Amino acid sequence: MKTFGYSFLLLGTLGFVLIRDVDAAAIETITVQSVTYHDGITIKKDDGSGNYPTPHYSAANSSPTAYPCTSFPKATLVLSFTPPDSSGYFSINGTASDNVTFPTRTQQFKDPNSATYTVQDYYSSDLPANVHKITSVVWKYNLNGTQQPNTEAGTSTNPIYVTLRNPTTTELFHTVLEHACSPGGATTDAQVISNSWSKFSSRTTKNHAGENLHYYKPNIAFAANQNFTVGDLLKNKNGRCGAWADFFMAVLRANGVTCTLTDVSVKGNPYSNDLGFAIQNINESNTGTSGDPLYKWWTKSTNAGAVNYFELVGFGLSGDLAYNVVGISGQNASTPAEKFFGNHKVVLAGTAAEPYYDPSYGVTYADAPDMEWKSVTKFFGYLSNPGSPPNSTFILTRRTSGNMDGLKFQ
Amino acid sequence: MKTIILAAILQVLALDCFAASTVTDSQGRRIQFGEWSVPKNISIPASGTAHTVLLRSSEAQIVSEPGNTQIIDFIANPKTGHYWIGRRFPSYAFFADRIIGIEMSGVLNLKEGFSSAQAIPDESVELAKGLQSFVERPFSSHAGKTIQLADIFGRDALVGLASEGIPVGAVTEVSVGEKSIAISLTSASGNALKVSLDSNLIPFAAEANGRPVLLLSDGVERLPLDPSSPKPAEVTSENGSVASLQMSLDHPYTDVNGKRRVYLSKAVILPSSGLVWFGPYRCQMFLWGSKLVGIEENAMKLNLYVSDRRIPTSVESKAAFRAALDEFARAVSSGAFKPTSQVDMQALFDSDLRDQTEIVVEDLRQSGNDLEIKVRRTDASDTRFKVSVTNGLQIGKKEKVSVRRVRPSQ
Repeated sequence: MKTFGYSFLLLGTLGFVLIRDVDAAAIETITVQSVTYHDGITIKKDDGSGNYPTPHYSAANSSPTAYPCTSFPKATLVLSFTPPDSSGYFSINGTASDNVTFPTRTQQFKDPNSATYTVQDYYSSDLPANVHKITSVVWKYNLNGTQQPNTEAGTSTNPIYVTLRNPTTTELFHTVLEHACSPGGATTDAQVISNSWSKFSSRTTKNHAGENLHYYKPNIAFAANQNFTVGDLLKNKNGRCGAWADFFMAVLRANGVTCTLTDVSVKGNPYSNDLGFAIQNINESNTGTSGDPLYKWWTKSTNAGAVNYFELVGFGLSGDLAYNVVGISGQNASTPAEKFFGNHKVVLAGTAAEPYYDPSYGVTYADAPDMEWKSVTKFFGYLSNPGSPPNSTFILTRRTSGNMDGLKFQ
Repeated sequence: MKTIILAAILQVLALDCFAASTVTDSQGRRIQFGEWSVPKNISIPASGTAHTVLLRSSEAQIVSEPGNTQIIDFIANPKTGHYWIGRRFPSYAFFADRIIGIEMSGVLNLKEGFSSAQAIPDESVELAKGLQSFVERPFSSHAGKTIQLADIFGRDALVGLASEGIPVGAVTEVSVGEKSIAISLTSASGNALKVSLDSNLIPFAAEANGRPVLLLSDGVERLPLDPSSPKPAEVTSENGSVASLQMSLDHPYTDVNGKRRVYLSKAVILPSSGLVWFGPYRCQMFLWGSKLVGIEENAMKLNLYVSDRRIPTSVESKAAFRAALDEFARAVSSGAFKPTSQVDMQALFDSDLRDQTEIVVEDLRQSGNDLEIKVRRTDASDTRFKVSVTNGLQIGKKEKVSVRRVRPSQ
């Protein structure tokens, strides 16, 4: 509908001149076409294909972004107008799901060559000083420039993660931010650690899309289970202990919380032939036939080469031990495919001297003896390839001692 | 019992000492040996000219465990009376008046052969003697040394990224001198390692990829506080990062519930200068001029542990490190080990830190000759606290700074 439009032009100190745009139509509706956030934390896609595209919100995109809670989002808002050749004043604002607001701005739309208007440098109010996730921002407008916006222009639904402080990692994948900021509410390092760990302790950790992430997924050969980093883990939804430790540390560091990777290996004293350890449960089929007085039970590997693997579930080993016994479950793996390890990775979080977090198994340990008590069933040594078929590899195993003195944290 | 078995073996061998046979061990298990191969001349490394010895092989298996077959080597030098019998080792050498079996299996296994103290007129007698010890303890019938290569080179040099697998490698070359033997190895992670041993098979020098390794342990004699394998780490300094080796040290104790626990401390060594430091595991390290300082967060205080102790970087390094570690172990065990200095942050910044129970060290720098420590609260506060410590460990400047981003006017 054609109508007369008016706009005021400020002419230096001469005052206002009323201009009548005889051919312009009045604005009827305003719709949010896209939202782009600036100066925030860039987030990578889990599939390894790079960063999420901008605009963060549009008909085609729903890209996450993040800000430390000591900061504030800055947006560029693109609005579309009907009718396309309309003009006039309008007011706009946004209210996020955490009640953060993009304060009301009054703007003039007057561009006969465009049906859109871009609101630049649109800063929000201060973010609440806690970790949380903004799920949506409701944008409203009013066509009377002097009144508060009351008509919805649309809702941008891309996630905005709010961290405790600036991240201290570059491993800022979508799922890392999801676990770092949800559940929210943390205002201290201790609360961040507790909230983050709650996503791992159930041993059913999922990615941001709700898909299971596995620790040594059963029935997958060791060679195909070689995911070392958080990036590998999120891309392939399966990972080794190092990848799970990397994942948990990335979640903590996304909030700027300090943490330390700790290596678990055999102590070698007094058991100087120990090479590694096995996780519960592995039962003995007999009293041991190796002939060694301490390492009584022998096992033959399923693979021989530069590094030997002892795949359990779905592959089977031969020897004195019964392997497929349900014991400690790993992440989304009631019996992980591997139980024999040369080492393991756990994480110290914050400034505390304990506990050590084991994200692969969702359990915590006070120290190395505590891990041996809770998780380890056997130690192995005497790796050798003596026999038949050629190049098959044997290990001999001993029971854990009552002193819990076989492991070392480093 | 053993005498009876030996007599039985000798009886079997007397019929046809190198034919297939079955013998029974002291536990009543029947061990079946296949026919011994015809003797073959092989050459093994020795000082000066390589030695030529006779090699015969057989396959052995426990009758009730048909899958566990082992190849048995019998090596004899009829002229000197030296012989060796046991499961097959990948390499053999003649050094310090005995035949030695050499095997790389994560650890370096060195097994010594036997000597009849005179020329061997009849191989069958020596074979029977050897079989007796092998049948009773097939995996540990020999004297010898097990060298923890991880103590010398660190686990990372052995297993690299494949660290959750079981470390394997191979002996690539054995070079025998009059008073030493040098064994070259390739590790699972592809590193070229070399270790030189004296006539007692104790390592006295080592190289990794052609570069000398600072020897902190010989891999045989255990050190106090059970040091973990040396791990490459970086220490920050005024001029960037400096390469160091770090080892965790265990101080075992029993807690109030009677459970075995471990107090973790660590050693930090700069191989370039021989600077060594001992202190709590959680310390953040900084090279402060010619001193190493470790800073530990302790509630609202900072504990500073400062060391300027050095060990030689020559062949004496092993003994000097042992002496320094002994001293630290005694201090830890007696409770005499204390921080060199302490900074009470709550006392220095009372009004700003009164509500806090702990702080986090965010950054360490050198400013002139002073050590500058930047600390943050554990919540989302944008305030940081800087304090400088003089060379004489006195508090210098203190400062409160804000890191908050400033919002431009809308």
